Amino acid sequence: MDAGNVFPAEMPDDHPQPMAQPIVPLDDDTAERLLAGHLHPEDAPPGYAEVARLLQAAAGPPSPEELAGLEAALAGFRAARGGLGQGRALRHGRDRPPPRRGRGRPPPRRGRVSAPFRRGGGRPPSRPGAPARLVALALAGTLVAGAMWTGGGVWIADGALTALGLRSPSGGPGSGGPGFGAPGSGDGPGVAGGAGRAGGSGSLRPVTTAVTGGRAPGPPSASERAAAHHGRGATSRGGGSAHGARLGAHGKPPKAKPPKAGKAEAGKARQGEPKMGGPKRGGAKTPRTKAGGNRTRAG
Amino acid sequence: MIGPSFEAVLAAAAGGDELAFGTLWRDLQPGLLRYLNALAPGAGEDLASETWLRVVGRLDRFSGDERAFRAWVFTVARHRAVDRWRRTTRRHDELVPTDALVHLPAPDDPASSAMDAISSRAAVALIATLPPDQAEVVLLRVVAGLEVAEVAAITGKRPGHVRVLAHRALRRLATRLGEPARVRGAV
Repeated sequence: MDAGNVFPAEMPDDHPQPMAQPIVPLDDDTAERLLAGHLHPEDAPPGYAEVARLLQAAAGPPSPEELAGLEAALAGFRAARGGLGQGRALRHGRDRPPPRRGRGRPPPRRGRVSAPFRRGGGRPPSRPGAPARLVALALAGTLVAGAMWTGGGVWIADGALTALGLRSPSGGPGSGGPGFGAPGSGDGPGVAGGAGRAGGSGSLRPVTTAVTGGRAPGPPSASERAAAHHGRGATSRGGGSAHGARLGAHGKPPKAKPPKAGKAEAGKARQGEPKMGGPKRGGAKTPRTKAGGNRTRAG
Repeated sequence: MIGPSFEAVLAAAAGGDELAFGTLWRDLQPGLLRYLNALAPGAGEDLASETWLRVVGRLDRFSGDERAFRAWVFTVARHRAVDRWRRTTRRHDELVPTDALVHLPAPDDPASSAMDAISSRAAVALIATLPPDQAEVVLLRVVAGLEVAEVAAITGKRPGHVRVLAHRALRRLATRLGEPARVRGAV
């Protein structure tokens, strides 16, 4: 049959038009196979053959230009790994706790297991002015030690401790307590000799043998404590360095009084002369000093 | 996909082995480039470099199988792309290159019957013309080879929504691929 003898509508359609293929909705399984690339275009539902071809092309093997950056990637990998090591080192250095100051503790050693546990917590907050107080305390301690050695500078050490608001263990001009080995007492032989010798020089030159009289410094006797209180006023009026000079000028030892009388007088002097006894102590208003006063009055 | 030797390769790469890292890179880089070029045309190389830099930095902390590793890498890549998109403050659909569509042959083209006639680049470019959420779902499913749940985790969508988006994308692609032939057949 010739094609010219028939109507076009009767012509067989050897070439189906794409628009003749309806796009059917996909079920889940077909869609999954299509997206996974497991559906061949020939087996695809009508209208999805090209989609299957497109998706397979999108998931196709890599092109050479896509893999061209391998060397650069390896170089970046090397640099990144090197940077990682350096970063770790820096991070460890940054995380290391800062060196502690003051308090006499040794600085933390590197590589200690306990170092990470100190990070963040456990460290008491620093107080303002604490380093200055610590330095002053160390200086006062040095002076106290020197005074115990020399037997003369304890009053100055007491003054330094009093200025810090601390109570010295040796008593002193402002402490209200007894001081042992205090100059100016002139009670014991060695002390009196030391006073006379110091009076000549008027200095705090260490004269150990003379001050201690050949014996090791130890706890004072009751008479020494009473004498120390008795001589407190002169020391306060004359300053700390007049301990032996004043006695040396007078040339006579102070009167020896019985311990009870000395204690009572010391208590009177403490009550009647509140401004004496060296520099003012803030601690005079503190409950501890009041308690000490009560104890004194009670005693 | 690397296969059963993935764990050994990953451990070696985490230990600094360049050969192992090269294996990982060759396996993932093509899909990464296609995905990122679709999300941010012209910036795929930079974003892939940023992605690998981030991956290398956290390689020793990763634990999981190969699928989880692929999902993680594409998650990092997506974050890089989103960051870049936020920096540039451009609209996503403005970043799609339309000139790449020229290389896509028509469905009735005799050359289109050959599978290798459609380059992967042109195919990804056509997928990128879809609405952004549909294009991303299709690319993560096809290019990255991820499952519905993994795509849902990466994109922050429910699995059902991911399936719906994939269905819509496939139907839209089928419609779009049939349109030129229809036009030519009418002419």
